[in-house]
Amino acid sequence: MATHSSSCYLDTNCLIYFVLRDSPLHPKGLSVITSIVSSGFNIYISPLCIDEFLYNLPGTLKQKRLDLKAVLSLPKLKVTNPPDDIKSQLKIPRLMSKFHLGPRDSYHLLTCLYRKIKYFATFDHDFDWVFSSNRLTHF
Amino acid sequence: MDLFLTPFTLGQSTVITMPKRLGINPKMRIRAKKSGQRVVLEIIDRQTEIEKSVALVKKLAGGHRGKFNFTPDELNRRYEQGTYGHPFK
Repeated sequence: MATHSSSCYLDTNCLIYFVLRDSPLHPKGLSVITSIVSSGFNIYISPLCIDEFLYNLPGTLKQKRLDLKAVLSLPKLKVTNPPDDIKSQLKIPRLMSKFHLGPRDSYHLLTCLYRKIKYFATFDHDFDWVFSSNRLTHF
Repeated sequence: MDLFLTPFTLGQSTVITMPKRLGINPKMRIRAKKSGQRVVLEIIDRQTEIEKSVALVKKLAGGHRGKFNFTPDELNRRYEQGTYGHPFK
């Protein structure tokens, strides 16, 4: 499997603030994604991010589709998945316990670890334990 | 511009030295294309690629207008409330 040391996984909140022009956090969202792209990094998201993105975005389905299209058009963006083998699923409760994460966030983490994605961009503090353990680097 | 160059061997590679006026600098990415007896060198300006990507990012950003003041933590709680029926923590 390829190593993606110059890759960054985007948490849903980055995507949401990136598209929402009137949010106070929009400049921050734009700045993070611009920095990732300027660094020449590959961007990774997963269907879990898309699910959270579509759920949290306000507006009609038509608007959500346009917003999703904008996100999926980001340069060097790839959609990836967590591993699908049985053994990997059993790592989820361990990650939840070790890093004080919810199940969904553990799947984000498992995806990064499995795909060897080193950087993680987020605006919330749920991954602080992960960053402090150096399993991922906060972009 | 026509130049006559003499290659030499260095280890496993063949080295061609070129005059500075060609504008080829160290660390530049160059694509070499061989077709019959012709070898065409094409400079790929990496910086331009990144600049183009950044311009695209700026173009794609902010396509959604409307009031939205949720903080990242509020977004998490909102999602968990809606999907699990209660916040996870």
